[in-house]
Parts: sequence; C-alpha cells; structure tokens
Amino acid sequence: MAQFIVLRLLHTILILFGVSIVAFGLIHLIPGNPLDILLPPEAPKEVVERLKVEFGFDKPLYIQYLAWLGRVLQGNLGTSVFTGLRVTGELLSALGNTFVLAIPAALLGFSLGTTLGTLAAFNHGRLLDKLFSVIAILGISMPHYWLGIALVIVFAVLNPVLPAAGMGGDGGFPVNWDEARHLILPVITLSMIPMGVIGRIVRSTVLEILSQEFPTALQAKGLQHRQMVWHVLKNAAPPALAVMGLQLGFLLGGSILVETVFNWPGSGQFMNLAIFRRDIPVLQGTVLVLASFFVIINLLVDVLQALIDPRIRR
Amino acid sequence: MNVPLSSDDRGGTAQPLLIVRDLKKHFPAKGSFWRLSRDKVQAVDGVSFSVAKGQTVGVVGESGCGKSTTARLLLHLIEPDAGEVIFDGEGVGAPGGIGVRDLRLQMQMVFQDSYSSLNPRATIADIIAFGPRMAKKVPSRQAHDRAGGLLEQVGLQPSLFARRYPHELSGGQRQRINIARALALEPRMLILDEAVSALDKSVEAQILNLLADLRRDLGLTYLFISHDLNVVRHVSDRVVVMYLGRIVEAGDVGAIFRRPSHPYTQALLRAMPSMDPDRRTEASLLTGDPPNPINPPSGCRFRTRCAFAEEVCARVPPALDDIAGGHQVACHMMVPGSGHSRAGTICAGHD
Amino acid sequence: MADVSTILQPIILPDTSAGAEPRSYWSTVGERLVHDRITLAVGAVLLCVILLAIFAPWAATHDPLQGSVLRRLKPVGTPGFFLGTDEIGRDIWSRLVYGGRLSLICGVTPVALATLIGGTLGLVAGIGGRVVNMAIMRVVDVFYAFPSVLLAIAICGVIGAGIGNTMLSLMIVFTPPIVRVTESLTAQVKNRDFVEAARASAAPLHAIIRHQILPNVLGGMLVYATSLVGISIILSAGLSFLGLGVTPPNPEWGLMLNALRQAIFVNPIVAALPGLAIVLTSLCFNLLSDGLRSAMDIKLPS
Repeated sequence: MAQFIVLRLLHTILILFGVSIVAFGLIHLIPGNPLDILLPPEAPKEVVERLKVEFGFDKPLYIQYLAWLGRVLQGNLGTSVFTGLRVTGELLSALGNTFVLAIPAALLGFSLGTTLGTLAAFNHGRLLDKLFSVIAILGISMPHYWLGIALVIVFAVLNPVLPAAGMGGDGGFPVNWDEARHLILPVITLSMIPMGVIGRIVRSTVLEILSQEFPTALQAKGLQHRQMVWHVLKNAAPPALAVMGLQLGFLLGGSILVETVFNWPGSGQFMNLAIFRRDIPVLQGTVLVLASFFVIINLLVDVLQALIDPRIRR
Repeated sequence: MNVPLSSDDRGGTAQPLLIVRDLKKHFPAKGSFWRLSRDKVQAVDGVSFSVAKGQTVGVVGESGCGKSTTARLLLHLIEPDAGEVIFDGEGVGAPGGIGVRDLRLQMQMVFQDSYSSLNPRATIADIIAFGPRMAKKVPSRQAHDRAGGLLEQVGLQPSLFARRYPHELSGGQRQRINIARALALEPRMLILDEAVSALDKSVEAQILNLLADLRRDLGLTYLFISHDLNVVRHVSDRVVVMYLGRIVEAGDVGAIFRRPSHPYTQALLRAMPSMDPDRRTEASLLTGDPPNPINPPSGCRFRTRCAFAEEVCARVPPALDDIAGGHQVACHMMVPGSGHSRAGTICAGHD
Repeated sequence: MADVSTILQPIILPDTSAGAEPRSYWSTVGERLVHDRITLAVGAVLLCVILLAIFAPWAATHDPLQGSVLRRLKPVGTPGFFLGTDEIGRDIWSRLVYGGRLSLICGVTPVALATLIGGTLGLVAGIGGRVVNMAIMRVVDVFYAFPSVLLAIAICGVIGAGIGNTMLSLMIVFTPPIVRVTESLTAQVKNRDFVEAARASAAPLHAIIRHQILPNVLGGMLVYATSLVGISIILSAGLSFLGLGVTPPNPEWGLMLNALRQAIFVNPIVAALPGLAIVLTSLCFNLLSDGLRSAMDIKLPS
C-alpha cells in the first residue's frame, strides 16, 4: 500500500512538471513576440528592447521557464499586466468564490446522481429507471450554461423569485440568507452535468454487480435487503469515485461558463478577463493552479480507491 | 517406427526432429518492476528433452508446472532467457542455423479451444488462409482454395463452413478449425497445448482420432501437452513429466505408466480416476502444500511434498539421469551413491 | 484400464448449421441497430438536422445576416418569422438552420481528426514495447491533467478566435482520451489467443495489426468517438458563447445564445431557442452512441 502511494506520488510530481511546462509554454503558442501583445505596435524600438531585457524575454526559453518555475514554487505567480496587482492574491480570492459554487454543486450532483442511479438500477426496466435514463441523458446533452439561462428566465424573469446574477455580498462564503439566495440557481446549474454523469456510471456499475451472483448469494445467506444494498454500493464505489474525481475537475474548469452567465466573480471569470486583456501572467498562473488542483484531486481519488478496493493496489 | 521422410528433411531418420537443451525462462514477479528486489517466477528452469521424427511426446504436469510456457518458448512466442532449441539439427536463432520465422513455418501450435482462439471478425476461410497469405505470400485465391481442402481434411464441409464466423460454431468444430489453421503452413511438427482439454468427452474422442489420422497421413510429429493422464497415455509414444519448471521423469509411455519411478509420477498415477470399478482411488502420496513458484524449494523442488525427502534432497538438485534404456528420472533415490538412504536399493518401478 | 478409443466409434458430425446464412459481426450489429426503435428515431432526427444544414439556402426563409432594427426581438409566431427575430432583427429560424452547418462541422471534424491521430497513437502505444507505451501514455497523462473545458479555453484564448482555431483546439482536447481508450482496447486484444496464433504463423507485424487487431478495436473506438461528438458540439458552442470561437456575425448556436442573453428580459423564449438546437443535436449523438454500444455488446453463443 505504501509502495502504491509512493509510486502515485512520483507519478503526480512528474505530471505536475508537465503541467507547468504546458502552462508556461502556452503563451509561446501565440504567433509573434509575447511583448507585441503587451505593447502597442507604435512603441519605439528601444522601449521594446528594454522591456525585453526587463521581463527576461531575451534569455533562452528554458531559462525563462526555470526562472518562472522558481518564482512559482515560492508562491509568486507574477504580477498582472493589467491591474498591477499580484496574481496570487487575486487568484486565490477568485478561486475561493469558485469553490463556494463548486463544492455545493459537487455535493448536490454526486449525492443526487448516486441516489438516482442506484434507484434506477434496482428498479431496472421499470418506469423509475426509464425516467432516470431520460433525465440523465438530457443532463449530459445539455450545455449547462444554457440551462443556467433557462433557469434565470424561469425563476428570475418570468417569476422573479431568485436573483439573476451576482454574488450578493462582497464575495466569499455566504453569510446571510440574501447571499445564499444568489447561490441557488448557479449551484443547480453546475450540478446538472455531474449528476447526469455520476448517475449513469452508478447505474451501469450497480447493474453489472447485480447481474453477478453474489448479491443473490448474500440474500440467500439471510442478509437484509438494506445490508445487501450496502455491499453492492461498496463494490460500485471505485469506478464511481474515479468519475467523481474527474467531475470535480470539470467543475473547477467548466465553472467559467456558468460564472459568465451569472456574473459570478470566480476563477473562471478571472481567467476569461485575462484572456481578453491578454494578461499573460494571470493566464499562466490560473491555468497552472487550476490544473494542479485537478491533478492533486485525482491523486487523492486514486488513493481513496486503492484504500477501498485492494485489487487496485497491484 | 518407419516414418517416410518429409521433403524438407535435413538430418535423416536418426536425427531427432526437436532437441531442447536447458531451456530457462524467469518472469519478474508482479509488483517487482520498480522495486530493486529481483523476485522472479521461475516458470521454466532447465528443461531438456528430445522428440524423434514421427513420434508423439506427451508432456504432463499440474497447472503452473511450466508446460504451456515451454511450448511458447519453443516457438519463440516468449523469448527464452537461456538454452537452445535445435530443429532437425539446426540451432534456432543461432548463426548458421535456422531463423525463428523459418522455424515457425515448420512447427505450428494448436491452441486450447477458448472462444478467443479464433478471430471473431474473420470468416473461417480467412482464418485458415491468413498464415499462408501473409507469411508465405500465397495469392489469396490459392490460399482460400487450400483452406477448403484443409477443412475437408479435418472433417468439415467447406461449402458449409468456409464463410461462417467462429461464434456460429461449436467447441469441437472450432478445434477442428484450430487444427486446420495449424496445418495451413504445412508444418512438420505440431505442438498441441491442451488441445482437447476444453471439449466434452465424446468430442474429445473424435478430435483425438482426427489427430491420429492426420499424423499418419501427413507424417507429422506431435508434442502433446495435457494435464489429463488418460489422454496422454492414449496418444503418446514417450512421456515427459514436469514439476515446477523442471522435468522429473521421462520415458516411453509404457515405462512411465507401468513402472513410474519418481514419487511425483507415482502420486499422479495413483490419483488418476479409473474406469475399472475394482480399482478405487487410493490415498494420495503427496504431503505438504504446493510450493511458491517465486521461491521454489532448494535442491529438489518436489521435496516439500515428498514422503521420502531427506537432507541431501534440500542440498543438491537431482539431475535427470538415465536409469534404464531411455527412462530418465531426477531423484536421488534412484542414483546409487547420491547420499540418499534409499539410493541404490530401488529398482525402476518401485512401490 | 479400458481404452478410450474402443468405447467410442467415430461419429459423423451432425450438420447443425445447414441452411443458415453466415452472419458477420457487423451485419449482426447493423440488424440490431435497425431493430432498436430509439436509435432509429434518433437517426431519423439526426438525418433531418443534417439535411437542413446541407440544404440551408433552401430551408432558410431569410438571409441569416440581414437584419432590420425595426424587427428586433419579435416573438415566436410572428408571420414571416415563425421563430421570431434576434436582437439585430435577423430571422431566428434562418440563423438556426445556417448555424447548424457550423455546429455540425465544429462537432464532427475535431472528433474525426482526433480519432485519426489519437487512434494511431493509441495503437502504437498498445502494440509497442514498454518504453514506447510509457512515453506516449505519460504525455497523454499530462494533457489529461487539464479539465477539457479549461484546456479548450486556454488554447483558444491563446491562439485566437475563429472557426479554424476552435476546431484545432478541440482536436487537441479530444486526442488524449481517444489515445487512452484505443490503447486500452489494443492491449486487451493483443493478449488474446488468436493474436498469439497469428504471431505463431510467422506473419509480418503489419498484417497482424491490419487483420487481427484493428478490426477488433474499431468498434469500441467508434462508440467512444460518437459520444464525443455531442460534447464537441456543446464545447464549441461554449467557446463561441465566451467569444472565443466563431466570430460574429456568423450564425452559430453558441454565439446566438450569448448575443440573445440580453434579450431574456424582453423575449425569453426566443433567447432559449439556440440552446434547444444544441440540446437536440447533442442528445441525438449521445443516444446514437448508446445505441451503438448496446448493439455491439452481443453476448455471442459459444
């Protein structure tokens, strides 16, 4: 078990290196000199040259990368070209706002998906199952940002009961009912796709387990229905957990669209602005942080899976 | 026996078609890739035997004794770690000898009938014609015609079976296809790896009869691997008994079955169910637990289950010695002066 | 001990398969698909969408780029503009029909290209030795570290908007998952007995890949690729929604969705229409993929 964790950790570090290279290298995909993006085209040559040296663009690429990496590891993600503020600080607060959305959405989506998926599997072929299949497949066929718009139309325009946009207060965790109201629509929107995906995986995994003989054997041994269900769920957990990990990544990365619809000042919007302003340091930092989160979450999910299912430990 | 020599013959009647010397294969044990410890599964550890032209040599042993690995080593489907394979006098892979590709054109394998031994996406004719078309560049038309001929030879009507798919056939039919596929390259020798083990008894009898006819008609040589002693007794001229990667006894079929000398062989034979109601199965001679192939016992590998094991058995691995005209045994008890208390006092076929 | 061969005489093989026509795997799959009513319905709808997109100039009632301020945001059912007009006065139906072209192209092309590239890489990784496999799969892992939406947005944000860049970005996003699926399928097939038999027949490697491995891998790849098309449509619409994909004034469903956002207070139904188009098309592809998977999951008798 320990060997497994160590191996996975090494693997993760390797991946994180790769991620940092990609995050750093992104801006060099832009055709032309990175400096051209920052400065107007009429800027005098000497200014361009001077800034080149100042920003280190004249040094070979791998030196630039190492310098950047060095700063990142010390917690310095650079300074925003646009606002002049430190990226780290702004990103963290924006990230916090995204978590306020993502975590309840994850909880809602996962629990709803698991429950419905299990119910559907145990009622295979009957109305409940078919109903669930329809909901699930609609859930994954729907662009969630469109669902957000639709919800806004229904609940904020046609029957104004919920706010259409914004976070309410100053950001951060909702401290009163008004701020919490702002959470409702975005969270529901964001939870749709995870619910659909998790539900389908849980349903198909549970169906597969039920088709094996051991649940029947358990019941024949005198186990109550409830206990048998528990055993089935334990077996269904590993693949479901793996998908949940992936979905968390989706929630972090895909939140950008929902945040745009609801004008939510999270990391998604943060990144969106950076793209339009060509704010390179912000872009690099955000991509790096979000991707790293995803990698670490997946590592935790893998370890959790291995804890539950000894077969995975190789 | 007098076997007409094949047109590919190189060595003459006296030359064994196949000689295997000291074949070894160790696999890294699961989980030991990253670790520095060298845990190895000693699947095949110094196997030597020979097969004469026109003969059928049976290889028996329990699951995990290395029979199937040996078969794959012969064809270089798995690369041996050590040892030589000599086909009709020429070393395989040796300079001046015969290449692996040419070896495969002369030695083919018939697989156990699992559903996955035939490509589910191909027709029967395609499956049989694949080898000749791809390996010998036979034109497609010709290869398919020949496939039809082979189908007839194995007892299936080409007009009914050539265009079918594996999932439409029964186990016995699929096994006939396996044989036809092996014969398509016109080999001189067939390795049959548990070729009848998955079949119902009645079907098994048909396939065995087919194999006997083919051997006679085509002048083939067989290496017949099986865990079923009854079948091996029925088809073989010589028998090789394997245990945990090594050969413990080898000899003519009569000698092995009437005068088994190694304790393991004796135990195996005693455990054979008999059709004779007067012969009841007796208590097993085997004691102890089956050992771990990753860390096999030192010296004689069978000693942990042998009722006669002594100190010398742990110290010195017994060599495969000839005790009587082609009958070989690897046991200290059979060798006078080996240090075993019963050495030299036992004759072949002791009880 | 009684001898086996004296008990049983050779028996003439009973001919159980007389009369039946040989059924290849794909023809069996095709027949199952045709009998699956949902897949049939979905296929029909999809066909309509595709036909509308191809014959857009005839199906549309107006020029999708021509608008008049006088006709802004007319509701559904307005005579002549039966699905209403958008914020610049352009006919929604016509824009939806033309937008179908862009959305379908943006949905199918990246997936098709990714399947080509990713499939090849996956095959190589599955067949090649340990070193090749590790090299390819580790690089894939790095790309997997990015949530797909994030990656698509980041790439598009960097290389710029436009339909070509959108498709390039999506192709990059979809290649790693396809590599993984293909590699996994190839590794499974590679270990099956009939591949070993093919190796034993001294056939060259390329023949084994082409005749033994590839036919058994393509099915799974097809199912997976079809499921990706639905995602691709949604993702490309999402990119346009953010302003990173297709540029205005091109009619594209995601773009329309964004532009009509302001309209939700004035004419909510019209604002939701492009989304419906996306949902419908994506749903069809997802159901098609499900249907394919069911049809291919034949428990063949042994």
